[in-house]
Amino acid sequence: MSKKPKKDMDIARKVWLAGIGAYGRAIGDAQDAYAKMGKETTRVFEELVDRGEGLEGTVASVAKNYTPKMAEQTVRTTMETVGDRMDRMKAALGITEAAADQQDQIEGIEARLDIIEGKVDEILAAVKAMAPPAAKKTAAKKTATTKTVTKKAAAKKAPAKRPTAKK
Amino acid sequence: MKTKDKILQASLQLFNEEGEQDVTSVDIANVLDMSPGNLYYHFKGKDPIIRQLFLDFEEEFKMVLQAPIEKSLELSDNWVYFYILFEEVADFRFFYRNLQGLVERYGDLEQRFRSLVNLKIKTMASIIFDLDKQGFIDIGRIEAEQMAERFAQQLTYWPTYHSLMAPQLSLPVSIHNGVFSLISQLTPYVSGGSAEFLALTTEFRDKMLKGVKRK
Repeated sequence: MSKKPKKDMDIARKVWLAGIGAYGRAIGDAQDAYAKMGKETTRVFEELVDRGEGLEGTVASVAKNYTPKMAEQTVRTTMETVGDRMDRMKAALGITEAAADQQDQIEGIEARLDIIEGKVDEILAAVKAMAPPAAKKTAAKKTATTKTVTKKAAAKKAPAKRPTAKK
Repeated sequence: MKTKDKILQASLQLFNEEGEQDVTSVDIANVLDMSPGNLYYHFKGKDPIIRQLFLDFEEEFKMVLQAPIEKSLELSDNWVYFYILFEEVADFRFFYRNLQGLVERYGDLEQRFRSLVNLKIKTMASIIFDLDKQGFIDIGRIEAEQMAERFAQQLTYWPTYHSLMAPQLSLPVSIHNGVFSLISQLTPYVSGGSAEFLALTTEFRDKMLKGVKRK
């Protein structure tokens, strides 16, 4: 059912696993396991960020127009009560402060992932939109010209030319 | 706490521990150091107590079940949420354990309880579809719907199963087992990490069980 790229699944999986890992470890020892789990999650996150940034560079104009869909302002009355219960349950399951910190960290990563994910989606959509060469020629040119990084300019121009070459 | 609430609380505890059939309104009054006449002033016997307990339970459980439908859970909160569902059922286990007998006795509650089970299915489906959307699992629509129904079934009949198969186990142990048994069904669908998922989930359950035994 899901049409997400494999990498996204990998991230989602790790976030979930990191959650379980954090709770599980709260019972036992393994302070270092937190760190490891955190590092691992962060590493994957960084990878995605890098990838995202790479894409962003190619279509900077699109990225500039992007506004992140930050936490929607939905009614949270029900969730708040259940949220309180979540906290109580986490405490009942023996979650220490370290685990709570870990949880915060994971939530932070999740929030950032949401942003990146949204960006990647936008960018992919934009790239798709550029693919039919006809009307998109100007957009591609604009991307290339807005590039200020001289080193990369040559490399960037090559793929931008491709649709024109196909004609 | 109001006398009425005290009566409800004591009744629930007695029903859960002794079984509803074996508890009389006099027993309830005794536990509360209250005359049967005084209890009768608040509730005209056991029937209205059971009815009121059901309505309170229904209201709370509905709120809990609505939450993930209204707003997706954080990925890492999913399984904590399953614990809450099991806790919710455990709090009202006297009813679940004698489901058939009680809905026969209180015909009007049968439809209400059925609606509650339907809501459970809806909630489970919502969670499973969200997990799919988030890319944590990869599951087809029909399988997801079947799994939702199975989850709801398992949750509903878990107290009966527990008291039949392992009455010697404590309630927390039974909850840990119940949550594990439910969550582990996701294993074959976990995107690209089934073994890892099962290993971590199992490790977690074992640690939890060890923690319970130490207490």
